[in-house]
Amino acid sequence: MSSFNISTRYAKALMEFADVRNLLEQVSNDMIMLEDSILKSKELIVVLRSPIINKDKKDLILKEIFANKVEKVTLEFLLFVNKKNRENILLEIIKRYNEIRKIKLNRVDAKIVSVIDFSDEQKNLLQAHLKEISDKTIIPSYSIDETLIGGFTVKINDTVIDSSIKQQLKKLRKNLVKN
Amino acid sequence: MAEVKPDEISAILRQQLAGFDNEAEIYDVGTVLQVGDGIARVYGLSKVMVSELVEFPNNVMGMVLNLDEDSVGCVLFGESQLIKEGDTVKRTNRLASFPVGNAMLGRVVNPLGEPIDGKGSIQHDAFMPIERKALGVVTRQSVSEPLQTGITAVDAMIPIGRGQRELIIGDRQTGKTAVAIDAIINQKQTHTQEAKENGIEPVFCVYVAIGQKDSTVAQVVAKLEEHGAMEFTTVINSGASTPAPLQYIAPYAGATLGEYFRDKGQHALVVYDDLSKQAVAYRELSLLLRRPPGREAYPGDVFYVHSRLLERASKLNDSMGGGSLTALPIIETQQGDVSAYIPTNVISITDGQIYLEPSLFNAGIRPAINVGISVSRVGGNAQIKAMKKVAGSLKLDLAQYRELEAFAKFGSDLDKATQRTLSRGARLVELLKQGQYSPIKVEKQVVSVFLGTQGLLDEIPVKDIKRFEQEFIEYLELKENDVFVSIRKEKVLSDSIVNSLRTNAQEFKNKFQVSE
Repeated sequence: MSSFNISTRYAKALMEFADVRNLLEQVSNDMIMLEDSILKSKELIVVLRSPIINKDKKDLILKEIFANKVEKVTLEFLLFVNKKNRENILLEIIKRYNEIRKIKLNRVDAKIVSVIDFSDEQKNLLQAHLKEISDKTIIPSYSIDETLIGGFTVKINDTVIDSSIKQQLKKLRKNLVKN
Repeated sequence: MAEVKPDEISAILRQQLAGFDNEAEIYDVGTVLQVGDGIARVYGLSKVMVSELVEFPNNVMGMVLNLDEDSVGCVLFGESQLIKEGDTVKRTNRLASFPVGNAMLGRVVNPLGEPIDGKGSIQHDAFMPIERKALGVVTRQSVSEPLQTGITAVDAMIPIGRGQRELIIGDRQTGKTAVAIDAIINQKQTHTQEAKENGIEPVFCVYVAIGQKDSTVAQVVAKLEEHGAMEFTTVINSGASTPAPLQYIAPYAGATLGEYFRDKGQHALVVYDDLSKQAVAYRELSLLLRRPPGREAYPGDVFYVHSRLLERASKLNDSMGGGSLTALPIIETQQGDVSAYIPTNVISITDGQIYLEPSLFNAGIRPAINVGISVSRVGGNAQIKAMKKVAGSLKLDLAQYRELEAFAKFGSDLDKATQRTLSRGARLVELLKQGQYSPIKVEKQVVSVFLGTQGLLDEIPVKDIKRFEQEFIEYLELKENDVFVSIRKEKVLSDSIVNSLRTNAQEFKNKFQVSE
């Protein structure tokens, strides 16, 4: 079975379990925190993926790092994943959890790339607009890319709304070549 | 000196570039996860369709073949070296399609419809998807019009009708392509004024070359041009050096172009040269896409690959315009082994096969058709009446000849009847020999077959048969051209024509000088 299927299964199970215990909110917050902190620490990823380090050691490491920072349920889940020999895909499970949670909450990430920084007013306007288009709560992340020449692009899921000068020049070029 | 004002220039530029809208563009993208061997795995592209074209960087196009849970498998139509991990892939919202239109005639293109003959861009009418469902039962009718190949042996014994699928099968170097090319060249006469008067509708041809040497294809194109056949022919070439995915889609592209003519109520002939190489290309990309291998390592759906292609050949009924699409697939066998996987598949799909044999080819019998195992399952209905009448006993005579051929060396020790069968057979075989690129009109075919089957050649020495046939036809053309005109127009062999043929043949025989 592909790791995609497995991580989906673990993520969904945790979500249901947390829901039954009325801890969904807390566990979800934990998961976001976990994704962040694991991504930041390359060593931890290497340790989790390493087959040489034995299970008890990994148990200890996980306990040491997260014991006082996450809910008891979350910690138990981490240890359970380790016990089932799935600690190598722990990060994928966490990512998948956060994805599924976002879909449930009708939230969506929007990657906005522009040449210059937007003002707060512009940002609000854009977000309101994107919300209207996608009918979802937008979680924006802004970045700068000067190769766009002008304008901006927005990426929501797989769909790109491209109003950059770079794209328009490309289109113009295509049109000229065609005729 | 005339002056050009700058604002005039900008006005013209603006005018020329009008219609170019600068609205924001919305498209779907994915990211390349893995690339190599002409295959790319892409993450994202969540709404992509199977067999949709996708755009990679550096002008490389790809086609989606696998939709998996977390990724999409694409085949690349360009070099995979130009693509790297993490590249952005764009949807085009267009299924893999082929440009169609009369402007395609006379051109050499690749399977995506891009010209490769250096004659500039093509003003096509429309794009049609290369994968289309074959038409259903209600829109079809049985094959009723002949598709003359100009090869006497084929037109007399293995007749092909418009809308039929006739397989040409044989080892390498047995003249498979030659049969197909002759058939294309012979369609030239359907485009003449004379054919129009006789109610014969023009046939447009598509020659699909799959996995062949580009030099061979260039030769074929040159030959077609030399015989004036390129005017109504499109050559779709995916040579041996093109990526396997392009070789795989080439026949479907050819079928699409053929269907364009068929759906207009016209007639098309598509030659797939050859489908064994297409199967090999499909095997390659299937294995790279990690589909499980089956017999001879071909994937499980290799039968469907060919059946859905050949099923698109059809003769439409009159309410649909009466157009037709005839398919001449070619299969190369190894050492005459027709029981290999792909040959048996295609034999079972087609409406008959023309079997070419190296032993016949080497014995100088060309076209090297093995009449015994070559069949046409539906073409008989399409044969003109005159030909049906004269060719009736031809196959039987030849079969009897082959049965007794082994005894030929006993010569005069044999009884009279056997000797007669042998001498008749040897003359018929000689009669059916025909040079390459020299198609014969159907009325002349009827006359020569008549000579053979009626025993009018029995006294002529075998080595003089070809000369006798040729000279007799020339003689008849000068003396009684009405015979040919009447066969061409009436398509039947009336008693008066039979009598006139007999008397003329007798007359000519008396004048004929047997060579020393």
